Amino acid sequence: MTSLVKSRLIKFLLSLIIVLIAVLIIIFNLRDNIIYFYGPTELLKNPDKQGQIMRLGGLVSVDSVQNETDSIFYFSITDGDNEIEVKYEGILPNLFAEDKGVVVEGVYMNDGRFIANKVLAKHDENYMPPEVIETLKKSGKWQGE
Amino acid sequence: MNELLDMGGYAFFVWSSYGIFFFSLVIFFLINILNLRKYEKIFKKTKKKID
Amino acid sequence: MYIKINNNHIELIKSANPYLIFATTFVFIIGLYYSLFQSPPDYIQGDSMRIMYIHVPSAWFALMTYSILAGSCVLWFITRNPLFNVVARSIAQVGMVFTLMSLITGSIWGKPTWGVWWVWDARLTSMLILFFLYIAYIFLWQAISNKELASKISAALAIIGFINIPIIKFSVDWWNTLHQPASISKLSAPTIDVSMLIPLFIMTAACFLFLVTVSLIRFRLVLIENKILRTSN
Repeated sequence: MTSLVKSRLIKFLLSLIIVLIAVLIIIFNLRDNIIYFYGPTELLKNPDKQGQIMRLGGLVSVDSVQNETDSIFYFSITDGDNEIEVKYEGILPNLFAEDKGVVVEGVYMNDGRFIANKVLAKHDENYMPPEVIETLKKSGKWQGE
Repeated sequence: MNELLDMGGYAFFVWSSYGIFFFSLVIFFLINILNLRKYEKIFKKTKKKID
Repeated sequence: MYIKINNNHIELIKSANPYLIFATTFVFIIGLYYSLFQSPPDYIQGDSMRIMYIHVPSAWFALMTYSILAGSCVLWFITRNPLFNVVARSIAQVGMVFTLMSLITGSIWGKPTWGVWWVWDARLTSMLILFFLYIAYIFLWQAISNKELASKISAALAIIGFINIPIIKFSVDWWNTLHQPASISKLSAPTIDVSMLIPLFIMTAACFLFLVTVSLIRFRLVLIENKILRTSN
């Protein structure tokens, strides 16, 4: 390595470290804004979030979906520990189902309920053919619903 | 055959994504092949001028 | 470390071109057969998950190409061997196309699964930033007429932008996102059934061949472009 190459290498590594630190600081400060949705426990811990427009995400609680009419739905979103009741008026996406992931957008009301104006279905990282699920269920090895 | 075209009701999404994907790849490939030919021609011309 | 490209290398790349084009087409056809016919639908998403077979390889090569781009810019900065500059400029546009493809196919996949075409979550936003980084790299080099300066500025941008790559990779673990976490990772067994891994890997191989084929065509293109620039000055 010539001395010229060496000095460029040092300069390069130094600037890399500086940029890295700068970006880490930015990410750390942006943390709250990058979070796409909150879970029920996080919302219940922060009553100051009430009355704000935000997104709430988790699993749709089993046996919680009720519809008043064809377009008004009530259901609860759970993260295993806590639940928040949601009211939604509109069309539900195809993949919306009990015990499946969901993200809703709307207002977290002062009474602790959530009025949603948008429902997004969240799918997980598992990909299986239907037959495999059937055999897994038969053999009792299926961990899902 | 109809079953394949229907894609379980997701025909529009599956076929349009595959269509856009392969169309773009082919177009991108052709652009680069044609550009290579064009540049080769330009280079030959400039070389002749210098010679 | 100083590798110089001579005419023999160029002739070799040239003669490999038809074979590469044939191999790419061949593997893509097999991949298409497997991803559209010879694989089962998903138990929740149905046939819409077939979009994964083009979405995931696109995203993988979008990230991999950027890593190579940033890596060769680093090597160029340190050694000033023009070869690394040529490599960076050869692969940048292929990476940009793969990024765009992963964004478009992802968007078309998002509509039937999530219910929306686009959301501003951390994964999708950072992927869009990657697309802009590619565009900025390509356009900066073209826009600055002093090519020595152009190479320096665009390489600096590519290197600084590399910070985005781990952000994209880990965004689904660090923050709550609508996008799913990785199905295939080094630390655990894949959460995709074997019957669906086969088409995914064939399509990945096909995309890799496409990346190599077009990058080598662009490699020749960039070398000629350099020669023209030199003679016209």
